[in-house]
Amino acid sequence: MLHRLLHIVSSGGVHNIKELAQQLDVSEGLLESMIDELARMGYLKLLNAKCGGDCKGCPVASTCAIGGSGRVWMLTEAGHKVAQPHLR
Amino acid sequence: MTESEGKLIRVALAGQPNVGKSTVFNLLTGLNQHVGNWPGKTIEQKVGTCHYKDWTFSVIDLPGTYSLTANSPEELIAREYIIKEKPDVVVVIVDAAALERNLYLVSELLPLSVPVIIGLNMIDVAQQQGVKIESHVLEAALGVSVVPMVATKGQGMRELLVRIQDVICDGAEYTPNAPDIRADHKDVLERIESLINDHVPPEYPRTWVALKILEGDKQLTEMMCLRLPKETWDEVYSIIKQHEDACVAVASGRYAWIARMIRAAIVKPRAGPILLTDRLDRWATHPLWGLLILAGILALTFWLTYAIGTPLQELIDVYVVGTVAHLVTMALATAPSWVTGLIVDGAINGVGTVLTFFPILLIFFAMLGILEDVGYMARAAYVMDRFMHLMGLHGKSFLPLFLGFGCNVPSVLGTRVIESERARLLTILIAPLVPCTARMAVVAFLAPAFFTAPTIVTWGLLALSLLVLMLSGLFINKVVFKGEHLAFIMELPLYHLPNWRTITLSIWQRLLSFLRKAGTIILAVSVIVWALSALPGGDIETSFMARFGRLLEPVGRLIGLDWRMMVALLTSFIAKENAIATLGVLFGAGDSEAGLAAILRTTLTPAAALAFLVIQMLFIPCVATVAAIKQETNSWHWTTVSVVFLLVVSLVGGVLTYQIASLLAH
Repeated sequence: MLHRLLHIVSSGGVHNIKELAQQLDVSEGLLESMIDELARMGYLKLLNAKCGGDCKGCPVASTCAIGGSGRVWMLTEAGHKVAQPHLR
Repeated sequence: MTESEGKLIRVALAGQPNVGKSTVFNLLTGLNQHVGNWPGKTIEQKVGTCHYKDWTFSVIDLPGTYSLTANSPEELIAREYIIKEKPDVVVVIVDAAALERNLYLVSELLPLSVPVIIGLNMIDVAQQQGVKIESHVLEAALGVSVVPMVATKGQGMRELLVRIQDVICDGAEYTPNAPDIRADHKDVLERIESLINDHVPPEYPRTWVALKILEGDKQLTEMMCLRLPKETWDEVYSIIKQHEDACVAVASGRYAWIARMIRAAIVKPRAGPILLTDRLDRWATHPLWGLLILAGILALTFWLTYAIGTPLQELIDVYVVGTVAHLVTMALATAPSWVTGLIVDGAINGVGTVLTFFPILLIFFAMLGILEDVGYMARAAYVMDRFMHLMGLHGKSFLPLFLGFGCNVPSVLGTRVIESERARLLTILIAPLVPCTARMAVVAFLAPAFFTAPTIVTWGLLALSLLVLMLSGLFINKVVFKGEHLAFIMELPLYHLPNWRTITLSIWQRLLSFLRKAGTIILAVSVIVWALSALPGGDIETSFMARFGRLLEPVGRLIGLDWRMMVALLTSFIAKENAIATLGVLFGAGDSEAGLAAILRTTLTPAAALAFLVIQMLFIPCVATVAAIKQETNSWHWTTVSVVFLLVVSLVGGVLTYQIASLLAH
């Protein structure tokens, strides 16, 4: 399950949660648990980690074009490596 | 099966935080409870007793944990208790409204070989959310008893106690349907299990220990390392090293299991009410339509700028700046001419002209603010990226770049998260090609002066910028680097109605920082430019500035620009808005009746103006961005490369534009 997620993501580009949940046939809640788990293992990295949409203390607040609460994760090198061998 | 001593049954209560475990504990034990600490720890321990019919239940409340890793004292306490103390049954309280998350703990408990019973709590909340759980189906799927309950209403407790008794007294074997490791790692698990088999302490389930070792569990790995003879441990260790991704296989197995259980037991209305967000997103995130929508929104922004912003800006230019210049000149009639020069020809012509940007910036910031707040910006970034993906730019996502739409500095700083050195450098090199509001403001100032359809021109310039961005990205990637992979997962937040307070605050902050910039850097540059253009003789045509500017004229001729425009381009290095400030000073904007725009119209052909704008869009970034590039690349080499690259791209673009546009004009 997790490796399928990694495999889909490693094909590159931006994937959105709704789409991924549909592809894996799981609910968005479960997908988010999976993403959190992969982040904990270091295969995904949460960008804008401090961005909860609270721009007050943020140094780039005055110029940030993507505010708001959408989280973004990046596939790490480790994650990319792990995704590869499972090409079937 | 476990025999209870006399008629005492030992129950351990487990569950994730906030599932109502304490409520259940209190309902069962009432006043017969004792609060202390887990031995040697500061974590609270609650034990109590409960009587039902002629049975006595001794209940211990285990710490609430999401899982049973070795990463926190609470988890270690919970699992050590279950393994060492071997309670007769573990009752795990599960939140029916968050079943997926809760099943993770269940997936960790089932392999422990102590009978598990599920207390399916909060079914009332679940029902409210439209989630219907078939507890019988869940029971069959899991292979363990499931007791529905609503602890807050005291429902289900008697059922629970009866079921506990059933499990204890039932002679049947306990066969839960526990998760497996992912199929392709089964043999690895078996190998480890066979290696550690003889050395695992008897109370620990062997398969579980092997599984945990593969998962990288610190406590158990250490335990086995100490207990195994050296050669056996070395073998185990080498297997672990070979399969460093085994933890994914273990977790994968659990999630696949959870998904199966959910699919079996939950009856949710399939699609639910289709949210407005989803409906909108069907268009907004479509690779083609989404892009068109984005293009449309941009066109709208520019159109508004020119419809509302430009007239206001011209008014301010002529009536405010011009009037202020006039008044100040009169007030300073008795002052030495250099003072008047400095203030009127320098400061007011320079900064004053830039301050006329206000209406334009107000509209830009307002649009940016609204789009952000409503939640559209995330879709814009997403669509841009999907489009690039469609163009065959696989794995070359430039999400951090989209931070550059306000200012390039955060996008350069944002590349920090990209680990691959090459991908990071690539992104940094093309980051300045993302138009920032300062560049756009300059374009917004000049475009309406020369073109009857400034919206189209501006939109075209933006599209050109992004085209150059994509092409450079492709080129650099193929030729210089070897094609790096960047992949992202993005959460698209729900659309919501704009919060005017937030938007106003954001506009206010941005305008303030613009004012600060104007009052400092732009003011300074304007004064310096004035000084250099007034010295030594007072006549601009013989000044230092002119002498320097004429050195650039050969290049300027290719683009149809005279030395003043070239100098203006150069000063845009300090801050993009300086292009306008410098033009204001060098063309003496405050001196004439008309504003700067009108003056320029008489000195430039539209082809030259277009070339100027193209260069402006693609030119080397402002010094703040270059400083950020130096900081992030930590190399003068790459900083120079980026500056040279953009210089070449912008000049080539400018020359081509001028030559082609002049040809077309004839």
